[in-house]
Amino acid sequence: MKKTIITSVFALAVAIAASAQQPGERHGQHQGRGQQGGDREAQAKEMQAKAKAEADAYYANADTAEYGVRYRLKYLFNKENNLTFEEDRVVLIAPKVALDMSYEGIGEVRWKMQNKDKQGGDPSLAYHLTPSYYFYYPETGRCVNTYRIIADEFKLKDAPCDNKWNISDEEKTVGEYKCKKATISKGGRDWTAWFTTDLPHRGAPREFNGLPGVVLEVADADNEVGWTFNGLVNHIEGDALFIKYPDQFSDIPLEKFPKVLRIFSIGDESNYLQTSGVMDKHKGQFPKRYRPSTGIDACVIDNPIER
Amino acid sequence: MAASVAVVSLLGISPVHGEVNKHFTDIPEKLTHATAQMREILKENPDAHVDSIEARILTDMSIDGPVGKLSDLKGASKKKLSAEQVFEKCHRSSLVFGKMEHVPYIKADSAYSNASAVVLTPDGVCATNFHVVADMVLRGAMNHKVGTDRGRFVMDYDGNCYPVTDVLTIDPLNDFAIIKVDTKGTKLTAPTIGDDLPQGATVYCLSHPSGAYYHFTEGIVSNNTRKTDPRKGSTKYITEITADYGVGASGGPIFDECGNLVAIVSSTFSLYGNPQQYRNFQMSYKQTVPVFLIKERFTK
Repeated sequence: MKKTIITSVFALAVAIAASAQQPGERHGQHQGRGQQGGDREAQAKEMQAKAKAEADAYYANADTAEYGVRYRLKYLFNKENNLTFEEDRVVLIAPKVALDMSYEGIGEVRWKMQNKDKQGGDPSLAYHLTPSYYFYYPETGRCVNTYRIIADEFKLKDAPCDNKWNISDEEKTVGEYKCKKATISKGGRDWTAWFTTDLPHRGAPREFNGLPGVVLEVADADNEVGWTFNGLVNHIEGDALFIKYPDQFSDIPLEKFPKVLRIFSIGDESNYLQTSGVMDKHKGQFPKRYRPSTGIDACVIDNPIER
Repeated sequence: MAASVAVVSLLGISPVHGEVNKHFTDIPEKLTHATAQMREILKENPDAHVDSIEARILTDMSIDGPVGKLSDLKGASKKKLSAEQVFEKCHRSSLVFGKMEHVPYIKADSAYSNASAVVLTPDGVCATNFHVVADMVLRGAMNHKVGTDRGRFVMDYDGNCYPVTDVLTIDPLNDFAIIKVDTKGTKLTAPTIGDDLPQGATVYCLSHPSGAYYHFTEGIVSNNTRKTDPRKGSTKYITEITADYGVGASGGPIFDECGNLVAIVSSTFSLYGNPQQYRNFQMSYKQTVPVFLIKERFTK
């Protein structure tokens, strides 16, 4: 089965014509196989070195997490049709900062590193990525919420954490960690969180910060939104857990963000992003280009998390 | 004189015959004319430049509408027409959609057609596909410019070009967009607007597939389907027809046998006996956008 969009083949024709006239490729036809292989190897090494230098420069001022906590977010976003959204999220935890973000990028990279000869992807991933980021600085209580559309970063919120938790003596074990119960009314819902002091430092999903430990579970009283503990994420060779605060924010005015988000959440059908040229707005490989069209913001929500 | 006619006929070139000329379209001549018109328009009207259109995406475009009142649209006709009569009634409502690009090789801007559109209101509100304007919408939303792009235009049956000045609203899922063109006071010929058609109803497609402006084909409604995405909760509606069309027809109008606009072209969906290799072609669904979705962008 093949779906065809009925516009022009002009761009394709131009691309084919251009590629047919690549002088380098023509020249290559006259080279010996051994020399070609050597050239390719040298080119590959050069590209790898360039990519590493680019990554080193991008992460030069980043914090490195000591570990991460992985969660499965389940969210009844559409009550009328009983539709639930699931996404793997991770909270990366360092002494001075914690970051809640989607786990898909990390999960995919790690699965590919461990399954070099295999096709497909990690069956344990939900394969939904919402490019929202929640930074938390425990020492000051500062919370920063950013969002990335393709490679443009938007700062949506920068305010002190003002959560007024009620901590009870009730305890349960999550994974192998002893947790205490805490409750809070926030954003129109009554939430229960389970946090542990068995793990170092502080961190929590979304904006459920302010507890003296690491939150391993949190859910609302109606069980419509919940983060379930899904294991710890450790450093592995070649894939450090960086906590990277954006170097710069988008030149697009913040008040336009909801419209930009909507357009990129619903308008990312077919290959429009590539053909429109917007993927080329930022040069280089960093920050990684994330598309909100696979995340929660592409969904028809009739049951908002903050209601 | 007779000898010269014989010579050009042998060369495969016939002189224009005045009496039948009105039935034949000279496409290269129309495009040359469009290039000349658009060069002038872009000089005189900065709003028609693609950078201006894209700059207004975040300020003026309404993602969900509305873009006008239902009373702005012409009500449906109930008078059944022959195919010739449908063409006669509707051909001035179907528009060629084109793009103006700077071509470094000739150091000038040049026009080419790549899609179709249809008039909705005489003052220049038109419909086409989202995928026809997606590049402008996404670039406008991301504040990203592409150097060689100059503008968009529509061209009517008589070869008059009108620059696109705004994208008024979009529905990427159902693949339509409502755009505004600058008519400079000229009243465009709006079609009467119909309703959804049942399976088996006769339809006509009057679009501009590559190299064939005002290509007119007949068919029936072969299916009406809707599908709700269980992940997103959004619903896509498709009217499938058997009237033929192809590349370049995007956004072109589909009329019923009363000459009412009932859908616009969207895409084709091909079935192959060997789908992995796209071999053994079997059939192609012609997928169109039912007109009720467009009408919903106009308030009562």
